[in-house]
This record gives sequence, C-alpha cells and structure tokens, in this order.
Amino acid sequence: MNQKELISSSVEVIEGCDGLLTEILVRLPLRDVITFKGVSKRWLSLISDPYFSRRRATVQGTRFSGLILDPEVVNPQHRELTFFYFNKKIRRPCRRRRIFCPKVPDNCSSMLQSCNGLMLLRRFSDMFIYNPTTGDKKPLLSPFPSFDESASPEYSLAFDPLRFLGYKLICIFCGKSSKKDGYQTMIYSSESGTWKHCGSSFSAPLDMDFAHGVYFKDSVYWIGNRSKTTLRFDLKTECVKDDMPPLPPAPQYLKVGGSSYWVNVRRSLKLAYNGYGYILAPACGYMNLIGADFEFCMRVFRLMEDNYSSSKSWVLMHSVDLRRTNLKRFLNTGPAGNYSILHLIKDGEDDEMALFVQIDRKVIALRLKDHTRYDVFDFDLKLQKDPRSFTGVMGWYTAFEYVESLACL
Amino acid sequence: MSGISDTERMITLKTVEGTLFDVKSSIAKDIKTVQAFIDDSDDDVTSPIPLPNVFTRELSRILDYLNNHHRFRSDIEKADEEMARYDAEFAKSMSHEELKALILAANYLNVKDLLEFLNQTVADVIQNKSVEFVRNFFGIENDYTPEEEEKLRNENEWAFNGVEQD
Repeated sequence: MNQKELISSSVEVIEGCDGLLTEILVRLPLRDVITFKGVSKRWLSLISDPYFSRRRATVQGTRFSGLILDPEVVNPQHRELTFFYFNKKIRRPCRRRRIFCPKVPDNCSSMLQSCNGLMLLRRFSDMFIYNPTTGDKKPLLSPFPSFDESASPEYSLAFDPLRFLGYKLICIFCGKSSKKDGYQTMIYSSESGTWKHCGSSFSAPLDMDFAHGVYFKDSVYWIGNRSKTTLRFDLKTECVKDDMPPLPPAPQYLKVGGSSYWVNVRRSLKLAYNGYGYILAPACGYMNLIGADFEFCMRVFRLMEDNYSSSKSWVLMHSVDLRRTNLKRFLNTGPAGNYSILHLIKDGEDDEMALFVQIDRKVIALRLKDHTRYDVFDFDLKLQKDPRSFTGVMGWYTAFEYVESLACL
Repeated sequence: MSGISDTERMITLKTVEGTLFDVKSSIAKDIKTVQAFIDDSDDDVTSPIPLPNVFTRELSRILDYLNNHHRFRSDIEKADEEMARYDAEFAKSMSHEELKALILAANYLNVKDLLEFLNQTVADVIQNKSVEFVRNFFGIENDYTPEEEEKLRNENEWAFNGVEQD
C-alpha cells in the first residue's frame, strides 16, 4: 500500500466513526450544525440524536446568550417581539447575515417560561413546549379531562441537560379535598411521556405565585410576596419543600407610610405587596432575589448557605437607587418611575452581575459592581399605552432568556 | 512502579513501517492505549510495543506534541502562553490530509488532550463552510435526492445565509 491509499482510507474511517465525528461536530457553532444536516442522511441522524444535543451542551456549556422581549402582554394582537444578544446588537426581524437568530413563537402564543433552551408557551387554552432554536413545537398533554376546569392548574418547566435527561413539567393544582392542604402536584417527564401524581397534598399561602416558577439546580421555586414565603419542588425527591428562608422585609421607608405605589394590573397582585415586589433571579450559579419598589430603588440578595449549620439566608449584595447612578440622565422622574427590571446576568469574571432594566424605549445593562458602567440597547421599543403598568418588577415576566439548544421535544 | 530514579524508564514503540521510537514512561502515560498495554503486561515490557494502526509520520508528530507539552507544563508561569503559541503553529503546519490522519492516530492511541485539540482544529476548518466543502473534506457521497435536499434547505432556511465561498 502506498501512502496515498492509506490516507484516503483513513478519511473514510473518520466519516465511519460516529463517536469521533460527533466529537468534532459538537464543537461547531449552531448555524453550522444545522447547515451540515444536509451533508448526508447519516449526518442528519447523528445531529438529530438526543445524545448529540447533550454532548454539545456539555462541551460548549449552556450559555445564556440573549433575551426575547415581549412587552405587549396586555394586547397580544399588536405585540412585537424583540430579540437581542448581549454582545452583539441585533433585533428582530433578524435578516442580518451570519448571525443566528431564534425563531420567536407566533403572535397568538404567549411565553410563560424559558428554561435552558426550551420554552413553555400558551396558545389560547393549549400549552406547548417550544424550542426557539429549532422551531420545534409540541402540544402538552393535559393531565386533566377537558371538561374539568376546577383544578386551575399552573405549570412550570424544568430542563437542564447537564443534570437530567429530557425535560420535566410540574403541575400545581387545587385538589378537591379539604381546604387546608389544598394543593396537589403532578409531574410529567418527557422520558416516560406520562403524568403522575407525586408527594402528598400540601398547603400554601394564597399569594403563592405558582404561575411563575423559576428552575434552578434540580428545583423549581415559587414565591409569595405578601406572605414572604418561598416553596420549592425538589426534582430529585419529587416533592414540594418548605425549607427556604423568608423573603427579606421591605425597606423601612415603605413601612413608615412612604410612597407605596399600586399598579393597576391584575397580575401585579401576586407580584408585589405594599408597593414592594420580589423576583427570583438565578445567576452566577446562585439563586438571587431582586426586590424593587415602584420608584427607582432595588436591592439584590443572594441565597447563601452556612457551611456549618447548612442553614440558608438571603444576603444583601447590592442596593441601587437608579437616581444616584449614571442612569439618572435616562430617567423620567415623574411619580411613577417609568422603568422595569428585565433580567439579571453574570457579567464578566468573579461573580459580578449586570442588571437589565428597561427605561422608556431603551434597554440598559447596568453593571452592579460600581453602578457606573452601563450599555444601552436602543430598540425604540413599542410600549403599551399605560407606561405605569410596566413599572418595577412587571417587566421581568415579559423578558425571556434565550439559550441555544438542539434538544428534541 | 519504581520510585524516583535519575534515568527514567524508556518504552519502545513500533509503527506500521517498523520504525522504533523510544518514549519516556511519563510521556507514555498520556498515550492511554500504550499505558493499557503496559498495565496488562504487569509493567514487564521489554520488547517494542507494536502499533499496527499508527504510521511513523503520525507517531512522530504525536510524540513531538506530548514532549513539548510536558516541557511547557514544567514552567508554570509561561505554560499557557507558550502552549497556545505552540498549538497554533502545530495546527498550521499540517495539511488537511495530515490533520485527518493524525486525528485517527490520536483516536486509536487515545491521547485525550491532543484529540480534543485536533477535533477543535477540524471544527475550525469546516466552520462556516458549505455542505459541498464538508462532503469533499470527509469524502462523503451525497445520498439525498434533489427533492429531499430542497426540503431540508427550506426547513432550515434561516441558518443558510452567509456561508463562505470555498
């Protein structure tokens, strides 16, 4: 055999070895992966395999890379979604070359939750699992018969390819038994494809916001702003636990009859109490909590665990008054501060964080380290008529993180 | 295993062509296939270890890579910088054919760090390239019908903008 023959036979061997080929392809940017489905049928099946998306997530990490903004929650007929990456300024409709853009859901679907690359959507009365990277959409089987409307179920999505296979849905609903332990839980696993009851029924304060679950490290969390309660569903033991510290008290100035501002939107009842709202915000590998009044002050807490007693507590990390930062020039200082918190992300090295806030038609990323540096994304966002309904923590539920994922549904 | 000694034990490897390479046992540790052979023989390796799938050119490159990386690691301060420079040169010095032959050798010998580096190098080569370029690179026959190809292209239209011309 001469050298030339040996080389050409070795080429076929790379192509013939699924493991080696996968290891090469998982290192490619997403757009190439999708393009190369067209190389051959074998490549298509290799790339479509669930192992491929898991392996790619392991090699490249599940980087949080963009936000989808959906500011028109009140009027879905005229809403306009905006998408942007943090390090590249782009917006929808994204026809620019060379930059990958997620497919945003159709106008009739509202986004409920985003979790590591998959989304939970509602379209009229139907629920869907959606992958904004591939555009795949799958209707969610309801665990209840269609005529049964008494349960008023709320759903939360858990998807974490680095921790468990497939995705899971947690359904919290009102049981028919006694009022005291009124809530029950069901869990759906994409691996089994079925719903099952889990744990015993449990009681929860009336203000628990089960509609806004937040997934973080094998648990889904919910908070109640009035009762200061946090509950979590532990995916490992498959039951609801009440082992979280209470939410920190609202700042003094609100207690002594300071300006508490009520937002005239139904949703806000669970989002804020006494003019102060909290939202759960995982970032930097920690669970964080953002508290905000309806003016310009916010505080960022981090859930810390004591090494010795393993008791958990909320530790204040940052306290920000936007009127005292460099952002003050953007503020419109009426009584209703027209700003909204959108998201919290890791910023650079060392656990530093940046807070995305919307002020008028702009999105601004404020570096929490020193409150002096910020980036402005000027989208000319279409705002609702009543800007007050956007104040404070409300915007959190209209901003959804986008993570690349090839996960199959 | 023997303890610290001035003269490190040497292991002899034999390629397809019959070329012999003497390798320090500390380097051989990074070649998992060779190390497994040594472990299986209870450390009693006196004759050259035959490598029936590895050619002289590839083995000599792999040993170069490992020797240099060992040397860099001994100087912690400059290690990262020098390693990155060396790796870049190493990748640049190879033709596509050589790169593919080396990946197979590294895969067979199970040299983890090198294999990861080479996988990334190939990914960098085919990144942003057309489907035709990739088929050509790996010697793959197109087994799609024109209709199937058209359908796939339409489904993923959004991903197809701005591919580099080969």
